Amino acid sequence: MPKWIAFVLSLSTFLILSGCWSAVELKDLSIVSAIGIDKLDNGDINVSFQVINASEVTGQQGASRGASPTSVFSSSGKTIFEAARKATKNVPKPIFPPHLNLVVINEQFAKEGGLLKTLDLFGRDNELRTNAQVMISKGTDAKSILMVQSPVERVTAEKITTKMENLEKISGENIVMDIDDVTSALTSKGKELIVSGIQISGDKEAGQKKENIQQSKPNGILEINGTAVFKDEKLIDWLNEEESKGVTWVLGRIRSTIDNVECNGDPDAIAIETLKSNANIQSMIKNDKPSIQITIQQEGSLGEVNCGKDFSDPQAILDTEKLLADEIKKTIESAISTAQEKQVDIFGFGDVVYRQHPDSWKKYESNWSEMFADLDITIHVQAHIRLTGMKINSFQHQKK
Amino acid sequence: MEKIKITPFQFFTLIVLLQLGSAIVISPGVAAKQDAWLAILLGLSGGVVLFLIYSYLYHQFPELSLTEYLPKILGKHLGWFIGFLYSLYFLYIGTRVLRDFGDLLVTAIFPETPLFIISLLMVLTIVYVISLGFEVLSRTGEFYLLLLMFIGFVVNFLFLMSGEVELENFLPILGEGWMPVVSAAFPRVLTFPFGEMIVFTMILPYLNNRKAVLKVGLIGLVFSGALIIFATMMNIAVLGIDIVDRATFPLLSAISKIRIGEFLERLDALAVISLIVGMFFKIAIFIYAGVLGTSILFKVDKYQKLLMPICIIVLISSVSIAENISEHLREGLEIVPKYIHMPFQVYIPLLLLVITVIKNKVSGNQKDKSKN
Amino acid sequence: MRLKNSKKTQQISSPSEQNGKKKPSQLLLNEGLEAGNNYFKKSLDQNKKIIKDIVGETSDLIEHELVLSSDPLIKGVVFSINGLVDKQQVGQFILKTLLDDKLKEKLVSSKSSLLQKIEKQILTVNEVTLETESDKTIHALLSGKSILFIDGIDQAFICATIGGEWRSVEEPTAEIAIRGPKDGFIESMSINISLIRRRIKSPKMKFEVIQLGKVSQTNVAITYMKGIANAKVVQEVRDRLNKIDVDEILSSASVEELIQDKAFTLFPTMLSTERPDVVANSLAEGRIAVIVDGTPFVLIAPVTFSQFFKSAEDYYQRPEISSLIRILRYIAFTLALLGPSLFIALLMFHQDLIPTTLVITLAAQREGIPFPAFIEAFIMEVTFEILREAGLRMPRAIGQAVSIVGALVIGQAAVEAGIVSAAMVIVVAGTAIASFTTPAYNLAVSARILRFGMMILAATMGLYGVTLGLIVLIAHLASLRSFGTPYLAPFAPFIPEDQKDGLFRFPLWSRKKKSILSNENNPLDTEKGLNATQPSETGDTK
Repeated sequence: MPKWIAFVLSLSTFLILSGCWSAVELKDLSIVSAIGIDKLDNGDINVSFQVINASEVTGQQGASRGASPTSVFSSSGKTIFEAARKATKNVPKPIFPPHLNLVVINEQFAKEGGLLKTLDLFGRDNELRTNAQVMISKGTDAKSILMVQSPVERVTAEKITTKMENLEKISGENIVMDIDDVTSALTSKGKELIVSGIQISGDKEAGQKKENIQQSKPNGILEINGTAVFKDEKLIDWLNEEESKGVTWVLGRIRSTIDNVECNGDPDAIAIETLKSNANIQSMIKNDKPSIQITIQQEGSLGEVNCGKDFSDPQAILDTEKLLADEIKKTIESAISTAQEKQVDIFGFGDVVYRQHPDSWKKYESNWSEMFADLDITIHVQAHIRLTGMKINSFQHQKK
Repeated sequence: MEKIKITPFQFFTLIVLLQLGSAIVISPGVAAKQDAWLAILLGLSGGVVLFLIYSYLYHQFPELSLTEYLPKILGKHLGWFIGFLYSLYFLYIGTRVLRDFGDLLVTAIFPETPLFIISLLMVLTIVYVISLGFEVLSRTGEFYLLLLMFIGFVVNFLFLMSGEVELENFLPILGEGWMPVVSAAFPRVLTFPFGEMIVFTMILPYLNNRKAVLKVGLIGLVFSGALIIFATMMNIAVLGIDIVDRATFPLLSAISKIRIGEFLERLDALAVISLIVGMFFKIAIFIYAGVLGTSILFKVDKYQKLLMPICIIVLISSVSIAENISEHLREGLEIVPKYIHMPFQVYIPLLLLVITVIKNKVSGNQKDKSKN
Repeated sequence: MRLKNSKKTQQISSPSEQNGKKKPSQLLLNEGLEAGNNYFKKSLDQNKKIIKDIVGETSDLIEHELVLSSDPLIKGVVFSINGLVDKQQVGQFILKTLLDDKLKEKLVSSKSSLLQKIEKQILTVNEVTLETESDKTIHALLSGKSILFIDGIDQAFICATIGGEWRSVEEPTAEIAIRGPKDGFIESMSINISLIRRRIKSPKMKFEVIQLGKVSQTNVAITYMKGIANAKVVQEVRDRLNKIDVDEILSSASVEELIQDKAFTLFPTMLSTERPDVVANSLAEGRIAVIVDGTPFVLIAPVTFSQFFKSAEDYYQRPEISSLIRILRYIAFTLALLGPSLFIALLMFHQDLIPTTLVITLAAQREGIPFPAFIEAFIMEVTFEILREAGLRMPRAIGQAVSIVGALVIGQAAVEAGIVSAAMVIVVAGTAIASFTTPAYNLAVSARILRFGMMILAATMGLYGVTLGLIVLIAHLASLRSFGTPYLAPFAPFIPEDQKDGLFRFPLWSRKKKSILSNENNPLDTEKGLNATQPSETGDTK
């Protein structure tokens, strides 16, 4: 029995001695929801933390002082790490980043290759989770983005990330990229990086005031806009929404989007909602020259019909399907031609070649950008309209 | 030796726990990139051959453990010495695994806690459980294998649900040819985890069903090999080979990717629990084998007497075995497999096999002669 | 009916008297009975004196002198203990027959000896034994039998007239089954035995009665099905019971404490139940029951951990429902054990593992709380334990008041005053409710105690501490044995056949074989386990 007692005693002694090294109280932490990284004019790096004021977010009775739900603290330094360290001095409680869900990087900084520097820091810190989304602030600095007060969803960062996820699903004009996606795109040789942009629309100054969320029509709101294209870890250009959508089609990440097709001369008379899409990319090597074949399979339903077409006629549906296929093809072609022009393989065709023809890829690897620019790409779109909505024909058709 | 009996199922359980203990932490075979599964498969087949050798030796001396039959094969003094080296080897692996575990837990979860405390608590737990006897360890193993299987099932189900699984991460197959696969499999995957079956040569005599040894051992080996392949490939499918290659704890990174709805996220605890449990059994089995071997060699009647001092040595050496994690990992990946694992897992058993086969032949011939 | 049963008991108990009886008689002798073990004399007065000297001046001793016949003068005396005897029986079957007018003729006319005449022809009590030794007689007297001395006969007639007031058979209070039988054990062993006997009408069922406790001389019955129960285990139970060396045995709890396998464990290794159907079922499965006179709780051994999660109701419900409820019980037990500690670990160490929305809510709640999470949880748990204890021992009416005050004070006021957070109240309350789902009260208690240990582990090392604590706990459970049976069976060691009544309850038709844990063909190395864990050795195991 003494052995047993000795065991318990020693265990409890060590437990008491060891005493909670890593323990910390939840109330003593500043929960960071977003980080913004800017480059100042003097070359220093400015790091901003958006910290959640928990009691303001939950609206606890008594605890709420009517303060803003988030506060932004920032500081600058020669390196990101130094700046972050300095910024923690300003924050009242220790920084707690695991709940980070947004990283905003200044457009200017990204153009100078700042993304890679940032990500290196993220990869090392065990407290940082790699699920946070990465975005580029377009036309403004990252800090201002974090400072915008957003209505409805109180924490700006959360608002943006949920919005992004929804946007990817319903429009396909944006692509959610988290830190892991960015890292793997940056390290991959057969794929270039694209990151969504974010900007402030409306009055920037007014958007940062608390009154902004008290109005039914806010003065300044955050808007997700455009897709930044990277080459060699540097931001080189922006894609517009149409081109972004083309990329999303090729990546097979479209879940739901609306496309308009022509009817009786009206170019946007019929709106078709995509319900499902699937992209299959095949690479072929002919005469030592790679080519890419993209097959898109789309299934959708009629969303809106503003012309007199008779959809009880199967032929009409077939016609519309053909028009839709052309429309999608056009979208994709525009994206591809833009990418080829800039010599950036944002579609990951290089990866496809690597996966399907690993031996040939070794030869192309070194000058893939140039090869991509004049790559032979064929696109097949198979559009299917499965459903016509709750009714078959439009009012215009019935009037006739 | 304790007078204990373990059932074939418990033996199976211990094999699976020992093998999974490693697979949870690292993804073996990732040196072969997305062809890891081929490397593991190769390593596994090597492991099967090794286990055939071990079980052949066991069947020659079904009542004895490795340190007991070594003197019978190699002669009293040399056998004793090799047996002593084996005991040290088991303790050394236990030490290394303990260090692996401590480093991982410190970096992943408890950045401010000293490594010593983490290791100390683990060692205390191991001392308690082993002092209750090997039977208790194996019964505890049965319980926790069920738990780990359950966690594994849940996690893999969630992986599939989360839509993070991308099968194209497995392509291309054999993009670099066979060379990287073979060099990843031998000696690394062969010796870690499959060659570690050598530790069971100490425990085999406890089995209550001698005929089952070979069958259960092989089933356990193949089953755990399949699980390791599955786990590794799941990590690669979720994370992509680049991240798996770089991550210190791929399973944790993969699980943190799970996000279903707004609520089923941040399930890292599952990875951490699997890590603690898996490592516990792995270290405990090695320490037990080492302590048992030592107590046999020095003719100590109750191995429990040696448990505490040896565990203190293991604890202290695990903390001081390397200055930092990089040094430790380098040793583990480059030096240990070639110069430590290979001799103990492959060369010496092979030598023993050759000697016993020759001895059997000679004695058989003599018998024949005497008959004539 | 009662008489019939008690008679049976005596008869069945007779084989055991060789090993059971010797000791008590010697013990009684040592207990300062200056007269020692006397043999009865022919003289009535001497016999009376022997009884009175030993039993002494006690008001509940009833002495009734009789004159059986005046010519020749045959005197007699009947002793009994007030309250223990059935007065009606004594009056009708002893006194009335002995004082009957026609008796004289019988006494005179018949040729056989007086002793035989009285025993065989006169006494109409349905069980009469003759005894020559004083201490056995006194034991019988103190058990509620009546003693008759006749002048000139050096033996005592012991008449089984046990009676007196018992609590009637009622519905069990601690184990309630909705569809099951409603009878529960009471404090009388003979009635308890009859309740079991009524369910299993098999001659295989044996009751061995021994007397335990140097002073209390409590009847303890070892009950088993011969041929089904493992004979070695039965012998082990016998041996352990015979080793008991205490003054009084007042309840089955003390028997359990004295014969359990390991002295230091928080976990019960014997099941105690007040339901005859549970005992009958266990006996049929090959387990052994120990019935202690004076307690409505019967002990069952060997039992496994899973046994404590089975309620009698499980077998009266559909198997699907029972299985689900059983799983629920295991989950609830885990919650009761780990609830607060996991919460503490999350709040103090692993804030990154809480979903973001929840972490914000929790952070907001905790903003004004003056204590760290561990202290807060500890205060709440202790308060809850105090409330529970207060409510339990109070008269029912006050008990309700206690719970109302408790609910108001803890639930409402403490949260509003900002002393504890609402989330902590939810966790502690949820844990408390979860702990009530365990059918076995004594197992729920172990979870309650271990919960505090787990909380300390969680507060010092977070999830790591809890996981290691759990490994130690499972290893401890795996090291336990209940009369040779591994405690964690059928999970560890894994026994496929017994899974049919482990975590799940398979339909009855699918269970062709009996549980193999406790019967003769037990594959597990029971014998070794028995030797390793005898109570005498528990003192020096690690």
